[in-house]
Amino acid sequence: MTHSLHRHGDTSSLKRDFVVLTLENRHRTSLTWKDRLSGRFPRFYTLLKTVYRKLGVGRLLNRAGVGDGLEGMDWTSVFHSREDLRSHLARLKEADTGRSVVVSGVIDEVGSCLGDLGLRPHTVQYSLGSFGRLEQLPDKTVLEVTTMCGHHLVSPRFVEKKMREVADGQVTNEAAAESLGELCLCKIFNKRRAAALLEDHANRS
Amino acid sequence: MRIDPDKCNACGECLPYCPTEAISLGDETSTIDPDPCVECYVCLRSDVCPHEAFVAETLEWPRIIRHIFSSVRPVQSGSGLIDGRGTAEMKSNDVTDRYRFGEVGFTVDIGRPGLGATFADVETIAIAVARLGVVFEPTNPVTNLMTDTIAGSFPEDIKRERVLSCILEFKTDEAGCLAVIDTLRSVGDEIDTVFSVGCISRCRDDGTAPVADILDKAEVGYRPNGKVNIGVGWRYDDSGT
Repeated sequence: MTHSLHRHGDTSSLKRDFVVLTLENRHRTSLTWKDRLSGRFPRFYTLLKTVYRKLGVGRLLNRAGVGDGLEGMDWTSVFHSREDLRSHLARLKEADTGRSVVVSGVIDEVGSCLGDLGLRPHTVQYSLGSFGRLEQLPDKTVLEVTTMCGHHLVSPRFVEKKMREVADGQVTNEAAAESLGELCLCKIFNKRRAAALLEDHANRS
Repeated sequence: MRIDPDKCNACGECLPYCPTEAISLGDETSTIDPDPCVECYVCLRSDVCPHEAFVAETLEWPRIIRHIFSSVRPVQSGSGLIDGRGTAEMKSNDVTDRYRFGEVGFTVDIGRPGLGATFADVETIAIAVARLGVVFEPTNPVTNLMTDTIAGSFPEDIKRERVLSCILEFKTDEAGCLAVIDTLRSVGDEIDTVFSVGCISRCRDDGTAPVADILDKAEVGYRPNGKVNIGVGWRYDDSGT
């Protein structure tokens, strides 16, 4: 999973940051090609599934944006505005794939989009924030950037390095955000928001 | 992970990439301190080293736990104890009904954001909430590592293992929700890291969440951003089969 619950930032910044996770429904029983194949030719289906996983076909299809509902595939998308989010959710609703869909973002904004589409929240997860040795955490801006990679593969020191480079004019904020985002393997790092945060920091420096 | 001293020229370019600051710069070569290293492989995957000096070593039990919980791509432990990094939690609740009305789910991301944690820290938190009678999610990989899922204890041989983060996942009834939060606040003083807490609630027909009422009434703060399952997954009986 992607761990997009605890993204830091003020509300105005977070309103430009939505992550949509579309999960393969491992419990569905509708008759897809997969169900028909597994029912009639179970051994062949098992072999196909093994090859599929070994070759990482799902990840390739996912990156190419042509996911076809094969088992084990979860799709992630990042959006920068409520309008883009609403359009995406409208397409998902229309497609009626049977997949569970989870949106991370400012809850009121997400709720508003759902209302527009005749949908409503089924289950909500709130972030109560962080507890413990908070004094060990990096500063606010660094956390706003690092927490956009849910697995924390973007290190605080690398963010600080890029912040210095942008402030010194060595690289553009967009290029720095691109470098940072490359480390997020789930591709839920919001590069556009990161570029804005780096620019804000450079302007304050 | 280790650095091949014959290939490394101590340029220091890799140092900022390490999430746990485990790489240090020497006169002739950089080295990795195995204690803070969580085997996340960020250094290796970043391709920052032009000399290909990073070497992924074969990891044995229990050190392999670090890699399983810290690297995005999971590996098999060979022990049969771990079947993945986590569960779908509330993400598939419209299909699984894991969290029902009257229940409150908790996710405790230990080590998050970014500091990492040992399983000694994990056990301290698990034992504290276990005393309240919470039910740990049986399919969660952290639960699977416990020696006693009632007490929240872990085997001795993994307590020194450090991971970038891992998730304790459990649920209680609505009446027990605030006691869990109080306990989590208190136990924060007993560990040497941070943890981030998620609170899950099934929504009413009008889209509101009962747990929000509980949090608001008790003046427990929560962030404006969260996760919303939008309820379009198919249940068994929705598909007509």
